[in-house]
Amino acid sequence: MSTETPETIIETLYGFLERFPKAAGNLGPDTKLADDLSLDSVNLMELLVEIEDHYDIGLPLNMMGDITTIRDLAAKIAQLVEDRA
Amino acid sequence: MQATGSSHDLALRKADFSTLCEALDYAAQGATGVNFYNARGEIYASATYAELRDEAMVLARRLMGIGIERGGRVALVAETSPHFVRFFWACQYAGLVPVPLPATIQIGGHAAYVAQLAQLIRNCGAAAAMATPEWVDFLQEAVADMDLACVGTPETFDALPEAAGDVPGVTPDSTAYIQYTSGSTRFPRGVVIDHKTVLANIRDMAGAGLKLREGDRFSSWLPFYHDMGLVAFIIMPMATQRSVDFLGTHDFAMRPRKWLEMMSANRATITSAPPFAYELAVMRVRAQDAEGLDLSALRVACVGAEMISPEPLERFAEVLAPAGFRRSAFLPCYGMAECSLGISFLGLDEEVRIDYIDSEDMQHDGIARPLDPVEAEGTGHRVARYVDCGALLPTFDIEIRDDNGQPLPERHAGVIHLRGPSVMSGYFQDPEMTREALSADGWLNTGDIGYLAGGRLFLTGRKKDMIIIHGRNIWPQDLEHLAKSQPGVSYNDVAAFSVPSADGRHEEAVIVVQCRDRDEIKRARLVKTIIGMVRSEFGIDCRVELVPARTLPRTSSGKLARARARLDHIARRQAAAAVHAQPATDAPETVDEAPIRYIA
Repeated sequence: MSTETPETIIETLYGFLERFPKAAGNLGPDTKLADDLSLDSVNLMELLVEIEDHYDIGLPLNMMGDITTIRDLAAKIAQLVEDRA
Repeated sequence: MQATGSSHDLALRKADFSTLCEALDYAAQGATGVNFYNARGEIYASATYAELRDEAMVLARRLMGIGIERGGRVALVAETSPHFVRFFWACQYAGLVPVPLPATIQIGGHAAYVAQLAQLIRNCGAAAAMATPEWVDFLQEAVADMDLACVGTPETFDALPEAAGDVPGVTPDSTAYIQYTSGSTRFPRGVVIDHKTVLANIRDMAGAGLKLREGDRFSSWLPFYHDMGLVAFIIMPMATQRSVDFLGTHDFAMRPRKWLEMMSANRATITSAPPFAYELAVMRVRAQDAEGLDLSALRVACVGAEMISPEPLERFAEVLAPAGFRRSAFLPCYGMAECSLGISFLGLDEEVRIDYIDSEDMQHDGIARPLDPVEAEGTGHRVARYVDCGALLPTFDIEIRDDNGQPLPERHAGVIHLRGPSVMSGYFQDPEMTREALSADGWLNTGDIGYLAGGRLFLTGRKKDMIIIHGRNIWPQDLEHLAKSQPGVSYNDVAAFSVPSADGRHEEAVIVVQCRDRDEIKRARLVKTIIGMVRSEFGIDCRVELVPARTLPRTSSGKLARARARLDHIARRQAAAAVHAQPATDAPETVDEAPIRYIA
């Protein structure tokens, strides 16, 4: 089944995030999605759709309040992927 | 699961009821109802008004058992869910007042959201509070140090015993709901709307505004805590016995196409959204997608809630023309929670119309002198354009007043004052704010600026300082408060306002901060911190400008002159742009990208 770990998920997220202007050469696990990458609500929605489609999971809105960094997001995705399996 | 139908044998009554309970009793005799769609676009809940009434009645008896006094407030975290609708109607039968609270959270915004819930629950003095399982942890955190009679999920409330006896019901003068007009965490304003008030507004909207007819069907993704979402899509369909289809706001934001698919599948006839939503939808729809959709039944697509330019609507109409969408379906409207909802609507089947006027005359004398934009080209006249927001709904009296409160003639811009049966009774337990907005003889000062021409209303600006971004109202005081919380930034150092974005199509928030620090690193950190705080609390991007001490203008009494601060900021930006600009080679701009706005 799934071999996703938070580490592999972080790598995948880098791929998704690369097209945002402020992401270039600026990505690490502790990069803050809002503060460092300036993702606005439209960008963020695009990112969430990509993640949902890629991992076949649903990302509930209520989890966003506790996500600040790329690492936080990856941990949440890992948990949702595991719950699904 | 089957959605409720669009037609039934029950005679269409356009909200001619004395209370919402009477309206639901009548709707329950028909076969229409409410339907909910998930992120995949599948229907997951459906109830006829008959079922909804029965469920609401049972829940009303459970609420009665809690022992809340009549007129007590019940806070409802207003996620788009069948539970919200059931609780909203149960409160009415139980003689309690539902208060919708926002169900949205920004990235990293856990603490800010909890603080917002706590503030609103305190402000309305709620005796009970409900959130669905997805949101209940935030709610529990918010009420941790409060003493409410009951807090929990729908399941918590459904486990309560039913009280015996008749439900108390309501009168036309009972409060139907309290609507918070902005996401303001520190300066909440709860608009109090009575049963007779909201029903008067719905009679106007369903009658003269939309000319509702047999077979009409509503469709919406608007949040239930927004006036348009609540009044136009929960209360109006019920009070006119029409079916309505709901998609979650977050699901729409992620996949706007689902909105179009839902309208297509159910042959919706009426929808409404802020302009940015039409823009977002068209960004995500490819030409070939349009052919799979059928929007030919959609006769009304209301446009309201923020400043816009007509171009995105044009694009939407173009891309979705193959799906049968007609551009005459666009219906610019003006409204606000203080008037229940609707104030003016463009005529049905009229195309969006723009008034071209002399921009200099407007700026200097507030006179809207019509100009032919083609003829104006080359004459040096700058042209401003404003969208026709239609005629006033029939029960409103209007006066456009100058700064001294004197009525102004046609084509003179001034502050819009309104009077009529749809106007609120006041802001909840805030006599001072109420006195500022409502005169003793019933005139509401809207704080919006506009002019009348041929019986049509044109909005040109706002007197009050509210910032509106993506249809959300944001109070400048809230943004200023965040900036003032930074070390070295004192009480007098901050001004927040909005300006048109560089392309003139949106508004953007600006915070000007007087900064004494010369250290570039510290200055950059301050800017970044404020931008980050605003984003986590409000989910918007803002621009922060650092200026020397004593830059911000004050009134003679020492208060911040926000409007002048805004003009100063625009002048500084224009000066900076002029220094950096290449010599202009294009023809001079003839169309001034000044605010064109529809509001609701």
